[in-house]
Amino acid sequence: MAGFVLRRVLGLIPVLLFVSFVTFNLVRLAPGDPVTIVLGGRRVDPATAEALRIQFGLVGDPITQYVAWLGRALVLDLGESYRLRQDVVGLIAERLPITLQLVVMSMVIAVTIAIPLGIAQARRRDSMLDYVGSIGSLIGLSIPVYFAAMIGVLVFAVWLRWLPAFGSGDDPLDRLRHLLLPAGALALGTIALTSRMTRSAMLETLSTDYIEAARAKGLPERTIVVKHAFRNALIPVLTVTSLQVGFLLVGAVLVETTLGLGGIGSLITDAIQNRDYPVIQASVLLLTVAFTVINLLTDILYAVIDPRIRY
Amino acid sequence: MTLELNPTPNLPPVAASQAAVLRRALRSPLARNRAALVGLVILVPLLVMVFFPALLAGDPNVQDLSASLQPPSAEHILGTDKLGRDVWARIVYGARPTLLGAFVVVVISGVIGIPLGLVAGFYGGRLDFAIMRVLDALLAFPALLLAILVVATFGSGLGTVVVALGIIYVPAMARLVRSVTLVHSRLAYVDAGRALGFSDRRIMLRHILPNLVAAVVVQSTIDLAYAILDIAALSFLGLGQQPPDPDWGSMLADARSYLLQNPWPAMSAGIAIALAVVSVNLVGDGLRSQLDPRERER
Amino acid sequence: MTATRAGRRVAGGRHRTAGDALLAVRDLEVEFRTSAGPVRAVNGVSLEIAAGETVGLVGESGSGKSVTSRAIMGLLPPRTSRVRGSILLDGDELVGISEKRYRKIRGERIAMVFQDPLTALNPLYRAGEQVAEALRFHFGMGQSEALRRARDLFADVGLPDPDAVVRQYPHELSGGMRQRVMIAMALACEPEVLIADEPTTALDVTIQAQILELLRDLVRDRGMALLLITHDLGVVRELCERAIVLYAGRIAEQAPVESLFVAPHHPYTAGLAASNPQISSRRARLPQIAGGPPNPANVPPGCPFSPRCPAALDRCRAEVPPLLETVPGRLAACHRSDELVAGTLVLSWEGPT
Repeated sequence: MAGFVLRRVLGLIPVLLFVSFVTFNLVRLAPGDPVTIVLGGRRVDPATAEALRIQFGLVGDPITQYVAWLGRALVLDLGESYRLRQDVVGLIAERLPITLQLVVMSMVIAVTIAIPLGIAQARRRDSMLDYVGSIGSLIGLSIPVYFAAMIGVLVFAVWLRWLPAFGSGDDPLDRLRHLLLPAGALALGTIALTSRMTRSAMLETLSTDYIEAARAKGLPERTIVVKHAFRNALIPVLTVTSLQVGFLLVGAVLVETTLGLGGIGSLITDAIQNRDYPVIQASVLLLTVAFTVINLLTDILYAVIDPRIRY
Repeated sequence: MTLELNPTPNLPPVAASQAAVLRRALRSPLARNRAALVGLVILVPLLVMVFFPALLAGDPNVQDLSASLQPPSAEHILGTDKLGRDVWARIVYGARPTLLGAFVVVVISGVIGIPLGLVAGFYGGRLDFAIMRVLDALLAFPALLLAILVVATFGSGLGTVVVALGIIYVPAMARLVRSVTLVHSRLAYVDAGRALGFSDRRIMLRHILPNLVAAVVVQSTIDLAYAILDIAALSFLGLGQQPPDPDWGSMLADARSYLLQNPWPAMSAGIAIALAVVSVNLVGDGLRSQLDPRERER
Repeated sequence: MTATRAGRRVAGGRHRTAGDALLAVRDLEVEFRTSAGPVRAVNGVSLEIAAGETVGLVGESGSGKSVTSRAIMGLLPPRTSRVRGSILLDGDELVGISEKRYRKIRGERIAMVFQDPLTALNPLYRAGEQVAEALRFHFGMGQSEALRRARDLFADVGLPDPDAVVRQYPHELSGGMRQRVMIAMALACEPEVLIADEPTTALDVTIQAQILELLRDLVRDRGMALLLITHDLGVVRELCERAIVLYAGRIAEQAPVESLFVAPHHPYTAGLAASNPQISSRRARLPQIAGGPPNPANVPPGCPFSPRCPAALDRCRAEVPPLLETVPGRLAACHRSDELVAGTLVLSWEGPT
């Protein structure tokens, strides 16, 4: 197991190098002087421009610059937002908690709804519940998250007056209340995909021989469904759910923008509007690294669930 | 003729075949095709919007500040936006950038991804390794985030968005083509073709490529649905179609600020996007059940 | 019939006398609901097995042998199937009882060994756990006691190093070892009846012999009733005292094994025997029965075997032959079985094409 984890962690390194190399060097491929992109079209005196060129590794050969930049990145120095005159990593760190809370909360919502739903659909295949669940998941997959968030505002904040419409709240409890609506909207797509996957994986495992063998042993239905069928179905479900984290991160950007939550999403959107390139670059890099690490954790989780993977 | 004394399959054979009959009756082809039919019924007006918008609505850019944020009326069936523009006309004219753009995204991913996957799967070895490593690394990025970065670097606009998404969609297509190619390169007819002295190129194009069609069509519909959502999302963030040209994603972004005063513009644009994605998904499911032999057996 | 004997299970033990039927199936009918209407997969099957006896249920795919075994186990999907007739286990009726009561019987009083031990063992759990969970559920044992018992069972079924096997996952075991684990799992609660569905089909030839040997010893030592489901006539001859040949959901013939293949009283049995290299007296080219078994949704009128039968008459194509005693202790369902008994009917099978 330890060897497996080590191999996986080491396998992450080239991927992270590639991701950071692309993120760092993309600006060099752009037409015109890269520093104008970094500056977002703002005019500065030549000395400042030169300083920025050096800071963003835009002079000299790309590899040397990349290595130097990587050295700084490892100590969490990803440059400075020219517009906000603030350290980019600091900016992100300030905003990170809200985005994390949002993503985690919507993941929790999605899993607690999608998995029981998918199991129930598989057990009662072709029933009304299965039918309604399938239509629901089609809609969930097709609705843009920001639109779902707007409908949520209209229904739960304006019409029913259950939840606050905008903002992210102050104390922890208030925060939770404020995040419920965005997290729910964000969860829709994940609920749809995860319940679909759970349904089909459960249909597959429920028709296997070991389920029949478990029935032949006279085990209670609950044990058969949860212990024997679901744990086997969990492996494909987990794959989809972990990929969902990528969608959730992106979705969080959109939902935060829609509902005015002050997370990384709003940071990126503001940066897009203000052409604050360093912030976009660093945020994308950070979220991608987070995504990669989560995928790694999923891989390790597989091995915990499935003994056949740890060879 | 031989006496069929095969080992019985694991399920009771009769039970299995009966259950399969039952399932087939309930799910397909009729039920599934009915869903696909619903998809097509939604798709047709959308296609008219894309290709002949003038048939359905007038100029989407005519402003009438005195008639700002009107609810639906006989004159404006979906009301007006903040600048007094007709929401219906903007929906109709907004179909093209989103839907045609999504289509081009899929075409780009196919034009690049199919040859890459074909070559990787056919030749295998180091070439395969190199191609797949790069493509896998590209998959390490969440798609839309990479698109945001690329568009922020190369400049906003529908063109940049479409090209960026097209490239970002390449790995999924290439992987699929590679896996199908791998299966077919091991089949006897490829060796037979080699024995006849056919060139690799001829074997790939004439013998393997036709076998990819079903898989590529299915993958394309999946990608198309995601491309619609991604283009709309990038427009929503202000990276796609630039004002004042109508576009569903930017309409939603715009309508967000007056959502509580007049929800009609936001609802119209959101439902338009959702309907387009639903119809592509339904048609895709129908195609999959027709084309994918595994699905057909189920 | 001895099926209604009063010997119900009492706390002190089981009162059984040799020759009594421990499992008695009467007029079993299984129907599946399909979009094309009900399909009868098993049609009037009756069989009896006594303690310590091994009965073979022989047939091709689709003959209804697996459905019969699933019906006895109560494992058919309740929503799409209907079981009629009577299944008596030591006097207790099983048809129509609640799922909850059936659950207490499955595993505890009737157990089953499956064809492919690789797919019939859950890949995610250690071998010991898969045996132990049945003990925990049926006997309320604690985990450590159940695992100790699993270890003893592994020793009983001849697994080398049973302590290690308890902790191993199915993918770490060989095919033969897996089937021994499967058998240990079935034996865990000391069932009265064991159903083995093609227990050797998925195994290598040398392992097959070992597993058959094990099953024979277990039946002898434990006095279980064994219903062996197979398509392999060699296995039937090896292990069974009696064989029941199924065709298209009906019993074609039932006879003691020693006489069945020597002098079949049904053309289908004759064809099976003639085409089996271990049984056929011919050595050169083995004859084959032309055609395949009928689709259960569309069984021909008359004798279901008539389209493939070399001796079929008009009457065979019109009238279903009843299952009748041909000689004492033997049953056959064929309009011309008298001629087969008398040896006046010679069957000519088409040679292999």
